[in-house]
Amino acid sequence: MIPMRRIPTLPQELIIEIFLCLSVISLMRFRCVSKFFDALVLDSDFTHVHHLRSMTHDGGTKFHMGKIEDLYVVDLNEDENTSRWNSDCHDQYFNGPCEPVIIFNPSTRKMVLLPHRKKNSHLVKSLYYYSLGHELIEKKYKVMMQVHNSGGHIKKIVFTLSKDKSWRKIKNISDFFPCFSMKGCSIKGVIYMMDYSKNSIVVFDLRAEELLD
Amino acid sequence: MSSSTKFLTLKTCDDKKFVLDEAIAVRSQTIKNMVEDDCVSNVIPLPNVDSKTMTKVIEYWKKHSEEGISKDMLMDFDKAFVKVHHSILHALILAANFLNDKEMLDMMCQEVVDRIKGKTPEEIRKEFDIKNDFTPEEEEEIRKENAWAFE
Repeated sequence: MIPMRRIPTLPQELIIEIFLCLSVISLMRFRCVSKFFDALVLDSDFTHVHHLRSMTHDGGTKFHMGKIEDLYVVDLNEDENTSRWNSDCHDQYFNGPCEPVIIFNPSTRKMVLLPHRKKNSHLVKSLYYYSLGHELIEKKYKVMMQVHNSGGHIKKIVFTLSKDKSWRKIKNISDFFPCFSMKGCSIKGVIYMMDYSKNSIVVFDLRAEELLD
Repeated sequence: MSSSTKFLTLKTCDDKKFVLDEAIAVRSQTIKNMVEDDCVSNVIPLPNVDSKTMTKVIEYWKKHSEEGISKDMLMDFDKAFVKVHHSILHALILAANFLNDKEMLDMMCQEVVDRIKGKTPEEIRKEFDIKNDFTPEEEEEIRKENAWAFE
């Protein structure tokens, strides 16, 4: 009989290092390994580092956002374990009262339903503009929404994912008119949007929740 | 080789000695720090590395220090180098970690990633010697939640 060579056990910090290089699908499967790994995969520091690393790979974490009926279709097949989504529509804006809004993470196939706002007694025709960005200090995702109603009033509200219970008003930021045909983009804790009234780029700081000059 | 070539003697945990060009040995940040701090006497003890593993590490260091070796040749070498038994792979990772050779550690860890990415949770527990501390109900719950990941 050939004597078995004992397999050396790797310390936890090296296993974490290895896990940081795994794809989301493997990580989701390995949540079942033990309580430690279940907590690790869901830990915000771990996901943050994983996200930063995965952005340098193909198929890194991405988010889609939009109207509930347009954004995606999740359907189960007969054996109830295959889900699909339709990612054709990824517009960030839409007309009219169109809630609820859902944020869907295709990597983990988890979705977050943003809270309903209080409806006005009379239905005001409004234009909605949403932007999603990542705040780097607290490592939270925030959604910034502007509601342009037909009376010319602009309401600016913000929602922090997995923290806020409801939308919060943003004070002290001046009005601007995001260009609907050009999508905003979020890089390093700020959201860049095109202001079509001034034909300039507006920068929204997700940490301070204010516009940068 | 220039006349200033210095040699270091490394002693593994099973008391085998390896004489190595200092310029090669300092691929290990751990050894480099010892050399720079001047705390190297005649022999550097490596209490966490056995001779079998050290032979492989030195093979890697020497190949990566060869003058005029092409990138393609190194890539072929690396590819063949990581194709070792599970137990040797883990031993090499522990050695690269102790010796603090990031390049080698990253390469070996990537090999583990490639080997485990398609495995089941049971296989992962075996691979890393992890105890399942879930109740069957708890495990079933998480499995259900992530059923798509098991397709």
